[in-house]
Amino acid sequence: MTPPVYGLMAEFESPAELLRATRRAYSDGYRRMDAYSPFPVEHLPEALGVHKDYVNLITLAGGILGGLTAYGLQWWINTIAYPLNIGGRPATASSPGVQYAGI
Amino acid sequence: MAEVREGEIMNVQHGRPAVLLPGHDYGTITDKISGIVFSAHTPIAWWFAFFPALALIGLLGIAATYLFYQGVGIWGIEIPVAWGFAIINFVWWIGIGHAGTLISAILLLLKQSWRNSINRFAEAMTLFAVMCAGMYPIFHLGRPWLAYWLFPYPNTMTVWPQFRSPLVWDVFAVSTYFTISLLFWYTGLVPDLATLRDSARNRWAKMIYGMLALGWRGSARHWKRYESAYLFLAGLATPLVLSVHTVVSFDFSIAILPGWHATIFPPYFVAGAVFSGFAMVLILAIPIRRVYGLQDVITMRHLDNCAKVMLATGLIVAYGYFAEVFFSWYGANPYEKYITWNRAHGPYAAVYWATILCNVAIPQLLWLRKVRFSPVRLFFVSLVVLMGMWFERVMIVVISLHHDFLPSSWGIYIPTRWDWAIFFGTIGFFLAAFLLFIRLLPMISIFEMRHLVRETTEEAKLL
Repeated sequence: MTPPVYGLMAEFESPAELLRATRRAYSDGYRRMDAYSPFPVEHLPEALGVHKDYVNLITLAGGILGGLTAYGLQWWINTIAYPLNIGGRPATASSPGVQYAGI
Repeated sequence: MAEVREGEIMNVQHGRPAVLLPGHDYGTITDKISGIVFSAHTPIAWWFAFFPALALIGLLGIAATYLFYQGVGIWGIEIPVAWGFAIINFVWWIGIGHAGTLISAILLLLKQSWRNSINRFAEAMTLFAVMCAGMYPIFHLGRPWLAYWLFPYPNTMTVWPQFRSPLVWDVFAVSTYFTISLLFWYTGLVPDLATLRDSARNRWAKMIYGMLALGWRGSARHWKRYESAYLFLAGLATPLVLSVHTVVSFDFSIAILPGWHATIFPPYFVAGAVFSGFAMVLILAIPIRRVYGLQDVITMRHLDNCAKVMLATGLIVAYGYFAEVFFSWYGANPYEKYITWNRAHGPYAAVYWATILCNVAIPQLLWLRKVRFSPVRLFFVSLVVLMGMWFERVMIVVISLHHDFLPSSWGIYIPTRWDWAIFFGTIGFFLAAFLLFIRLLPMISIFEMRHLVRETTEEAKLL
């Protein structure tokens, strides 16, 4: 008796063939599949049915959080924790330094 | 003649040398680049560069130890010139780093495919240059062991940093710059580290590259996330190209000293930074492609493009010099007028004229195709530019400080041997770090080159 088929692997000569085969497999209803390539191949993730990644959302959240933290910390230090009178400038005047250390 | 023997000028694409010379497929390009890392044979030229670099690191160690023991009095700094070499070299090194970020981030966003073979080592150059730069403000603190006081952290003294101080801006500008550059460089390395892991024979190499590769398998899902992450990092790094050196220029321009208090400073500093950075890229690329035989990957096209960027930014720098002279005349401020006169005729006139010669006059040679297409000539022009940019920082820092408003407080600054020891020591550190990088990691992005192979073969099919 033959063991049940766990999976199937195939190798392709060119990115175009890989892409064609992936599209064909997807349209035939296969979903649990992956494609490996030594460099990014355009449209391949879409052909596999991967449309979304969350990198952009994570970056945005990190950027907003980092920016608010950096500004908030400076504001708190300059006005509440340790106000310094530098030439009579308003205490909230912030530095033009690079304030985001995003991600 | 070297330039004729290279014979690559012949390989022309739309009238210009190709980004990648033909004859490569995915396998050969991988073997060629990873072969440099895996080869048991280290080129003799590598050792010839590495040993002097190590000796210079030793010098740096001695000079830094004595500095920490004795204090900054061992340097030539004395009121009124309290800044001296530490700030000159800080600005010089951090400027050199800018080319790496420009190549990797801005040229990526502009889809310049020629960046692919030089971005990796330009980024490494950025990292090491920023490390060298970062040493100087700490050395200059007088009590370097208290450098962490610059960070905002809750402490028993209940003291917080002064965010309107340029010293604090520098801390954040440089540390942000370093973090982003490191992330960018490492993110770019991950797929290549996986390639090294897969082809390494040595057990330790397999393990180390494997751990660094973070389980990269080259799945389409990986690539998708990877590409967005890389693009975001590029987007985040792009403003840094402009902002870091702008903050550095603010260190000067927020002071009221004649020669510093100028609105031209940020663009003038950024252009100067890119100018010196590309000079350093060429100085590193030209010997590397010769020693490792990478002329088919780092082609004349790359050298030509770098030379053109150098020429363009050099002209902006020249405009900056012109604008300074013009404003000192047009502004009718006697002190500004004096500083211009003092630069050209005072005790440091030689520095000023050396700056003009190295940064304005000699780079005009880059208009000539004969110079841009000769690696040897290009190497010497780049060396001159790098020296010129160093002279420029001497001019800005020392000449403005040594004669300010009050003649009774004038003075003269002469660097001591310890100033020079630390300067050459950081050059040694930079070189040694860079040499280790090209020995241990792929200095050219392998997967981006594979992509380039595909693009060039497809172009060839279309023709």
